[in-house]
Amino acid sequence: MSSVRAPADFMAGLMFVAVGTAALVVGRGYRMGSLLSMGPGYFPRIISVLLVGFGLLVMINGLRTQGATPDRPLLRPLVLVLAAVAAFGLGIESLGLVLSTALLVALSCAAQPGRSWLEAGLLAAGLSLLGWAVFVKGLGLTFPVWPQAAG
Amino acid sequence: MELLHNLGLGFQVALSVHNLLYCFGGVLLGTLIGVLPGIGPVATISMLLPITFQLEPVSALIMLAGIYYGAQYGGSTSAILVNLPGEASSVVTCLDGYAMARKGRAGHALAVAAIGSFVAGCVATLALAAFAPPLAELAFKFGAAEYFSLMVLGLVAAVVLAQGNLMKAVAMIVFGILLGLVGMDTVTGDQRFTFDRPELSDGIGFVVVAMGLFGFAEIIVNLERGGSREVLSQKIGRLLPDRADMKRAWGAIARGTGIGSLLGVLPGGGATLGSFASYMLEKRIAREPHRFGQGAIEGVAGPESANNSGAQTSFIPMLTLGIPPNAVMALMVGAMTIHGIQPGPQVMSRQPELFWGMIASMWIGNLFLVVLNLPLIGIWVKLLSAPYRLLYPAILLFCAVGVYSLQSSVYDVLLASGFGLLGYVFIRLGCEPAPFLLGFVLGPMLEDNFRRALTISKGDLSVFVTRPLSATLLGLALLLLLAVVAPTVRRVREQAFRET
Repeated sequence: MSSVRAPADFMAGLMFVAVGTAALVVGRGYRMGSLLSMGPGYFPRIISVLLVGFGLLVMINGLRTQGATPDRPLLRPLVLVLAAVAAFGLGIESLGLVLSTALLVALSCAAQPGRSWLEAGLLAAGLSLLGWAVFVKGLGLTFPVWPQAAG
Repeated sequence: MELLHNLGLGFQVALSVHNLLYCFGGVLLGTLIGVLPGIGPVATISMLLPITFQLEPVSALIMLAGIYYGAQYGGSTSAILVNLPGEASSVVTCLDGYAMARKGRAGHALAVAAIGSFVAGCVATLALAAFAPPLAELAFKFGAAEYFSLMVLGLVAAVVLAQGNLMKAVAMIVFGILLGLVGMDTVTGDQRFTFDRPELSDGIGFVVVAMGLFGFAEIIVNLERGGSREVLSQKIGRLLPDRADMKRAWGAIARGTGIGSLLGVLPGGGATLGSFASYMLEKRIAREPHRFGQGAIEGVAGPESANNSGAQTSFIPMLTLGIPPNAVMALMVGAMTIHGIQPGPQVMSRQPELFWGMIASMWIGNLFLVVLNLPLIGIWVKLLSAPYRLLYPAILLFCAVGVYSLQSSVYDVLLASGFGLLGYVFIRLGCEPAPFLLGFVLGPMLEDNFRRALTISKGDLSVFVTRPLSATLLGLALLLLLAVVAPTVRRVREQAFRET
């Protein structure tokens, strides 16, 4: 890959080409129809081909011009922040607002090294209370506050 | 005077206690997120969208609009005091604003930013009121072919005016359009790209995408950078600038307001572009350009006026044509759709109280903002020292609850988390998420109008160039594209973004 002068551009182009190709493959069965009465496949196919085309241009550009190399991603914040959101989503209906909030706060605090657990605990308690006051009491959104019995 | 009558109606709506409260809430929140770096109007508005579902449409829109222009005021505070742009549109304010603060003139900088923003806000409100009706009138003449061409022009302009690599921005738009096609085909009812998930048959929610790309991805990146920031304990100094300073500032405010209002209307414009352009202009016409960067008051007054007027005039294409010129307006379209309002020229005639109420509220909101930002500046300075480590879990929680409550869907929350990952990849690869979001919103509209235009023309593709309005719009798009590819324009464009 030493001939790639702008790795960030090259990889971005690769991503576009991959997504466009995937869309063509997934959508291969969609009926095309005619210009007069377009089927569900007509417009998506145009767009997919365009995406592959522009992706190729971006890739070529990445080979020819000098550009940035993406930084190495730090896995800790990436994984933990996304996991915090996902955990909240998975928990909200069965565990309820309080425990899901605690889960979200615990995971998201862990995303930063060297956090105090006492502070995280206080934050979780405070945010649960705030969330309950704003969403359940204030806006009347309906989701469980405490864990639900089976089901 | 029809304009006065209309504005009168607007003020009647906007001055109800209820709407005043929401307006105040909006600008307060806008200032807050403007001051805090790392959370912008896009993330905040998407966070609040589900909540505004409970409100009356006009109150909801008044509040959401307040967040956007309020953020322009707040953004200047952190730019001047800590050299951190709270918003992208305040990047250039850092240069001279922070320099002024270091010389003990933070108060002057803050005051001139607030005064400039207020003047700009008033002018932009009038511009909005004056130009929206004729544009809406024109929009009624639009058929499917014109709408298609207009959107193409909008997308092209968004690319040209976007920062960074052109080709990548185009590809991001196309990627966004593709994602917008996920779900049931509105004409034939076929499922497309849904992978047999019933949750996807209505398409991917706009909030889900925006929250992932702008909310979660930004938090991750902020944490990678350490997530802490230093707050200088600055003395703010006297607020009101002396007469010599004000004399310099007035010209800059007037020019900034003009440029901002103009560029705000353009697709891809909004607040950011105007502030950059205004700074360049001030530097170019100044008698002693070397003062810039050393604390020139024009360097604060111009851009801060421009970003505020641009934020407000960017409502014009959204309200009159139904076409969002930037990501925030795309969210406003989403907000209107949630309330069952189809944005477009008919809003003004069918719901005049909504349209004019929102415009009048902007003037009131600007008044609130001056009060919020000048006498109460001390509070915002304190807020700047709120530690990010406590802030981001709270932001995450509100985002997650917001996504969930939209449709009580666990699937949406997981999807938003996935878009967080995608947004992170975008940032790492230097791809701007804003064009992607614009493509995502316009995608279904593009397809719909493309199809309808061709059905009406019996499958004749030439309909796009034989109808004069449509041909003009496409011609403009082509011209723009050619202009960017031409080497001279390219150099100026690159220089324009580099100079900051």
